[in-house]
Amino acid sequence: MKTIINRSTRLLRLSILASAAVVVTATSLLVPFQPAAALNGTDFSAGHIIDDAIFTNSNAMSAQDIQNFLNAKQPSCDTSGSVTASYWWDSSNGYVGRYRETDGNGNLTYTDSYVSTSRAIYGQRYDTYRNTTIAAAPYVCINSYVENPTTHANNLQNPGATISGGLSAAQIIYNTAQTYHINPQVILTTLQKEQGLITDDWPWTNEYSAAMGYACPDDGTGCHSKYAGFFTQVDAAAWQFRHDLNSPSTGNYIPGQNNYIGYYPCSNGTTVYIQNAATAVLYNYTPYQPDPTVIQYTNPTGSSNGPGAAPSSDGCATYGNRNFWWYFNTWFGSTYAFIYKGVNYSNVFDPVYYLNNNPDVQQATGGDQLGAFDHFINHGMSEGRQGSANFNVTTYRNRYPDLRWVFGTSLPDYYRHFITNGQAEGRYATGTATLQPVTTYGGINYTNVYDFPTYLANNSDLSSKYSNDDTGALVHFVNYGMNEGRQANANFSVQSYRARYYDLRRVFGDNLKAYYMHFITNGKAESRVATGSYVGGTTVYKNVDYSAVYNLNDYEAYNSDIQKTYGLDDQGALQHFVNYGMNEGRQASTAFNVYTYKSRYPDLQAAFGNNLKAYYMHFITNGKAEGRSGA
Amino acid sequence: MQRKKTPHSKRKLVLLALLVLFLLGTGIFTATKLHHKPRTDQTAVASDRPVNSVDYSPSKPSDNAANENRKSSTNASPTLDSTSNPSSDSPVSFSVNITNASALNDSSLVHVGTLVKGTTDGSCTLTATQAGQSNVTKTSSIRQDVNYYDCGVFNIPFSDFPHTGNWTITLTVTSNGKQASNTWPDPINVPSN
Repeated sequence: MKTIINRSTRLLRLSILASAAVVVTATSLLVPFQPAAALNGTDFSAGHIIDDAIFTNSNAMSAQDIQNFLNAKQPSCDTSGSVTASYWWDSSNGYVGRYRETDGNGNLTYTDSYVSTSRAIYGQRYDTYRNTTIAAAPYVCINSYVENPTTHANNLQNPGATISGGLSAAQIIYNTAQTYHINPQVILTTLQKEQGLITDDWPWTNEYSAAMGYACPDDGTGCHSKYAGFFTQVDAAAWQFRHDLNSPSTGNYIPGQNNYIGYYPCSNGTTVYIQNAATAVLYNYTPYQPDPTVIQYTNPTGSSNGPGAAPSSDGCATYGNRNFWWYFNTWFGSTYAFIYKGVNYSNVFDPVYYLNNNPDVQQATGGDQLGAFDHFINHGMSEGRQGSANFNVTTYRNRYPDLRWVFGTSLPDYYRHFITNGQAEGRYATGTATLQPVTTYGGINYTNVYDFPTYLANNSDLSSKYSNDDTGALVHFVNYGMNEGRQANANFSVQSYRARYYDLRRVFGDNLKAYYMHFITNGKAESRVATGSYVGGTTVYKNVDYSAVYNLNDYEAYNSDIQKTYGLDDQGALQHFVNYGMNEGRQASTAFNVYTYKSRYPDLQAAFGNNLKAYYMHFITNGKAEGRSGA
Repeated sequence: MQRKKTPHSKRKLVLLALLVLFLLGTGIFTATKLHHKPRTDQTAVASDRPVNSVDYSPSKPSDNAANENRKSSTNASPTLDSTSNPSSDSPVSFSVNITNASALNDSSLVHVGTLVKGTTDGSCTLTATQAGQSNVTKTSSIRQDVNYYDCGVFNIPFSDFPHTGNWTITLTVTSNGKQASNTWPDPINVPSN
């Protein structure tokens, strides 16, 4: 039966196909390999080439990982030497390379020519010319190299040979890394730095003889035969690395000190402060640093153009440690262990310091530096632990209120700020610094109504939340505390202030925050008082002070209708008292009852009769002064 | 005859448009998730650390450039460690450097590192001087260190110094009848024992 596809179905299918195509396209656009951010030559730090934790990370790769890596770098080993090589050759005398002769007049003459042959033939001619046995085929690439570590029998002359007790180069590298607790990536990088052996697709045998460049002085005296051979080279170099790590004072270059590090072959150099043991190890192995021209001509790490070279005019060009740094970063990532999410924590994290000062971390990690860094990142910073002698987060936070406004109680942000900005800005985080709580917010200084300790002491609900957060507490005070009438300064009680000043109440009513602000802007300067207990509202009306017989608290306490009608309107309540209350004989103070007063003094009864208000007024104007009592 | 769009077909088109948008969103989300898939590090404990991100890509021709140059040279250097052809620029005369001079208080030693270039044989004399005090002198011979020549490392106990305070360190090498010397720029402060 023919399937009928209607228009909607066709559209649906088309849309699915289109969407799938878009998905595939989007995926292909977004997924491609994203290399880590490339480093430039200026990122090379002569005093800090590689962290100790990286240098000694012996478990960075398994033997199979190493084999996979070597296989990847050798996609097409030219074992038979069939690839074409082009070179200068003089067939008349077998000279390889441009050979210079002079005629009778001292002019240079050449009898050679530029030829192309297979690499195998070139190798034969080279060996014949140089009287060596290093260059002829077959060529065994490192991913296929096998050697017996004891007898040193190997497959260099017969790539397919079975070597009894033989180990692959990968296994030799791995075993050595384990024996001396050295990162196998350091060995791989050194093999490349010294001989290019990792990538060479037609390696000569002398590259294996001097694989790590161990005991091969740069002064042209050749390599020491005692250390010839791949296994011996790898073993001796790794031993040396471990020895120098364990005994830094035996080296010519030592960590934690200024060292003079030269260029090569010229005699110039600079003083370099070597920051750590592993960097010193590299200089004890290769005692030179790249000169500024080499740095200038260094390609970004990962560049398809390789590490780069200085012009031949540079008489101080040396590449050893530059190449170590370049290849390690290109192949294995950063030489710095203490990088997390792109931030290098070396300025605030010293693993030795951290482990020595945090016994719990020492115990939990067994002294492992990467483990210590992991703890520092995930716990230590949040807990405010000190990671290096150069950075105390409490000191840093206390010293810089501008940072507290930004970061509040988020301690890790202070560490990161120091790394990314603070240090460059000249800020420092050593010594002690007492926290001076902030009192200014939004351009207003709240000192007259606020101080941090008093605010927490008077408000127990805030004390734990803001115990170490002066900026947060001030923000709370400004946004909530004043509206809620919270006391934050021993010299300012908003209830007292409000009760004392009718003029303010008439303007601000129940807007408590306005009283604080008035005190700051005017009240303090006007010598107004904002302390003392609640005083019962105003007692003065038309220049008469009724306080001897009246206060608001008592008037409302004795007369519930007054409380209901006037509430906090003390002026209204007083007017009522003056105009009606006294005539009605209402009590407005525990110190004066008009009926008691009337009955106690017959002379007053004779004078005032039942005019109750007259008794109040008499007590105010005379009675109290005469020692009479109305209580 | 052109077909009129009915409300029913319009609704279908709207539904289809929504479906397309949904699929687009799903696709981009999936692509983004794939793009941000964390790298599988072998030992890195803090995620996102670019450590051990092994580059398994094939080698490039540029990786072999130095080797190719060396193989085509008639005077191939034993290693690629320094220049490709160091002998062509080797210094005619020899030189000596103090690589480090410092007082190691933890071990009560004055440490002096050395480096000799341009000769492989000769004698070395290290002299520490302080005004008014007799010199402290140590001697050695040029030796092959791992990959270079030096006078060895001098570790001189504080107790060998007759007086505390600042001492100036000078190294003199004599080779083939010639002398070269180098003085560490900063005096070394020897503390009391």
